Amino acid sequence: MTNTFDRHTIHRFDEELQAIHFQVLEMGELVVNQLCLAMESVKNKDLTLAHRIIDSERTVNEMEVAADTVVCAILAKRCPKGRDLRTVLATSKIVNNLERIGDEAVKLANFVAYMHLDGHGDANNFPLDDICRLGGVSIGIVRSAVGVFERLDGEQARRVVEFHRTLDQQFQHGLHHLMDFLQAEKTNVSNAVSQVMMMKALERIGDHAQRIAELVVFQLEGEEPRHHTPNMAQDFPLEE
Amino acid sequence: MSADITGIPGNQQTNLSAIDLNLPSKRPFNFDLARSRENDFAAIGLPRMKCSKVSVYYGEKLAVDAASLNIMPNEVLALIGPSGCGKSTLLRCLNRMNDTIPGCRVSGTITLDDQDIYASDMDVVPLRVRVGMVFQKPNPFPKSIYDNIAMAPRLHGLANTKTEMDGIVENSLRRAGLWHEVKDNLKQSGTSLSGGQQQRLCIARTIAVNPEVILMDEPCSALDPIATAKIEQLIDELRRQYSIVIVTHSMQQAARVSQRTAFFHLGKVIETGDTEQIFVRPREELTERYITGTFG
Repeated sequence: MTNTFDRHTIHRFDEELQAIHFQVLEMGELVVNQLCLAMESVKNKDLTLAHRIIDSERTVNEMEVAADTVVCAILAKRCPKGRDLRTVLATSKIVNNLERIGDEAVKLANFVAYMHLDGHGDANNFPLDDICRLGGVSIGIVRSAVGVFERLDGEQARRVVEFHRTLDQQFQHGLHHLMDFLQAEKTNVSNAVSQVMMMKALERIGDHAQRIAELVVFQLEGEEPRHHTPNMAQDFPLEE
Repeated sequence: MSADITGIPGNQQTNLSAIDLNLPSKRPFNFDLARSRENDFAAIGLPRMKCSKVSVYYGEKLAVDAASLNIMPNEVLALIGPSGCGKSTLLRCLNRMNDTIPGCRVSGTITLDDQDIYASDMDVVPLRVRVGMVFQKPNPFPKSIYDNIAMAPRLHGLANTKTEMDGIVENSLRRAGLWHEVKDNLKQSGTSLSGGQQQRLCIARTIAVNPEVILMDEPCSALDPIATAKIEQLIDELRRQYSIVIVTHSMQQAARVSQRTAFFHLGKVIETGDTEQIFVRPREELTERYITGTFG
């Protein structure tokens, strides 16, 4: 007789998969939190908070190493197949993307520290609206990506991938604003470059979050939505 | 090869004609073996063997239920599935090994290069030359290593001279990766070899008659990991020349050695596909549950 429980015949394997899932969720929450704090430090020009974020980078790195160790152990011991193989591969890559998001958050904090090191802040007094808006979208997309991983929701994951386009638009928008501002005003070039880099960091965060959502789709459906650019031609028409 | 590689005294005759043993069938060959190998099936990528809606009964019990499979040239096809799912039964149908089992009945069609192997005029002896078999447990004859290899070619008259036979023995042992280990002891009994060597001897014995398809029924289940690795390496090399069908309970082994995999359950072929697809993105829920170990 065959019964079809969702559990593995070797129950310990279920426990190991569950454990790595929660480990990644924990890392995801930490990274989202770090990103929120980073944006807070940008908005409030909070040097102390920025230094706290920089210091907490080690924790995320340690979590990445710990998760990778578990992934290695599962691959060696269980030789996973099918959905299990996809789960382990996706988990490993998601961990990597989360660590990168953590790095970008630290990068934001580093820019805050650099710009406000002398206590005077941004000499350009450039309005932070665009960066904050971009930050808000980035936080939203990372939160959604972690959420779809938590619930393993393929449909929502596809929406997150689509939503990433909004972030790209915000990035372009912010960049144009900054360029207009630089042309019109007397500016401190180094601070302006820092702001561009901050926007770029937020855009990269969106890319990593998009990748996490794609990996959830791969984990659930075995399909790689990566590098699908169906609307490319529409966005950049060759002819009028 | 000019030397007498057997080293057996009195074995210097130059002409070895086919030895008339009590063959299971006395009927003459009903097709030309040499010609059949030169057909175009391999060249144009048509299936070497085709099973269409094959059902096998042991008395009233249905062991294989309308299984359809293609065996392509130069590929290793792995048959996987839980015990009693019919994979070994189907494998044994491919060279009519089930004929000897009382009460076993086969329906459907199995063809080898478009010839129905269950046709009334099909002689099983040349069929088993073309479709060789390696069993779970190594089963060398209690004879010398040389004779283990030479017996079938002698039986089928594949060598006219002693030199030719020596060549077949050496070539078979080389292709089975055993030559360097046994070349100085060809007189030694085949049963005195280690388990892994015995299994490679059996593979050498199978390829000595130059088959087209090799059937392997859990060939590594009685072997240690080193011997298993050697057999797997051998399977990979043999694939260039033959079609191989392997029944294995080790999914790792199926994933390592095969290009296509068929999953069996309760006598039915549930899913057939590229090995990579089966083990990464199976289409059927039942396959997914089997390979992930979530049913039992």
